[in-house]
Amino acid sequence: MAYVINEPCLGVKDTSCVEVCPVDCIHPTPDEPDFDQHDQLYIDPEECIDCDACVEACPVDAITPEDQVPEEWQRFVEINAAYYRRGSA
Amino acid sequence: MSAAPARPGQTTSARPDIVERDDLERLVRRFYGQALHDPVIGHLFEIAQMDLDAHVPTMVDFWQTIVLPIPAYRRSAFAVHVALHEQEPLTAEHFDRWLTLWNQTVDELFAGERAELAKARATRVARAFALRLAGRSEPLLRIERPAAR
Ligand code: HEM
Repeated sequence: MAYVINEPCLGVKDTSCVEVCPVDCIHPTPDEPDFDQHDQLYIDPEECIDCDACVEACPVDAITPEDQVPEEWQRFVEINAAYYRRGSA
Repeated sequence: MSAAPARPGQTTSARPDIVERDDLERLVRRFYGQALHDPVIGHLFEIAQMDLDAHVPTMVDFWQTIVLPIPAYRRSAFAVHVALHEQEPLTAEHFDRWLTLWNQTVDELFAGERAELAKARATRVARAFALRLAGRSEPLLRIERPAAR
């Protein structure tokens, strides 16, 4: 399982979640070159350790565990995963 | 890298930093050596019926992922604490104590960048656990669904 960043992040990209993630699995970070090219941040489903730290940090309640992503945001599960398949690393 | 000035009675230079998995195992075992008998949090591990020998490798995976960092932990860290919290409420005092013991244990054994990381990341996670569990008398999902735009 992993956590997922959902629609409320769009255009917000507050990055509080990046600061609290103990395994640095939320990208792009503000100092990464593609930060401006993305409307939201993404959690790496392979790296996420389900610690829940980002949920509390998020000012717009955008983050949920994967199995609790509301119906209308289901596409964000794939949107998060897809970012990390682009070979961004 | 010059060592910090040694304070009287402190053996700063004698303590190595965390280098490998074995170091983390030593840290985790020593931590539980204290935690399991601790007057504030010891009983919680009994309530959870924790099997220490089964749990240590999981914990070492967790810390290896964070501190070395070599990915090893592929489980859910928060969920077991929610389950325990439902049996016996975990309070801010419990988390404070957990963290104090953890930081003490790290400082007893190690000094350096990774030792600092182990303490800082534990603080983040403990804080997150505590905050979320405190608001957790209701079901997990409390976000309001935004109106469709
Ligand atoms: C009052 C504080 C805490 C108590 C009483 C507590 C207790 C427990 C218990 C009973 C387990 C289950 C062990 C088992 O039977 O397998 C567990 C697992 C675990 N704990 Fe804690 N814990 C506390 C705080 C923390 C903190 C602050 C962290 C992280 C910094 C942490 C990280 C973990 C991890 C990674 C696991 C393994 C979960 C898994 O994959 O199964 N715990 N804890």
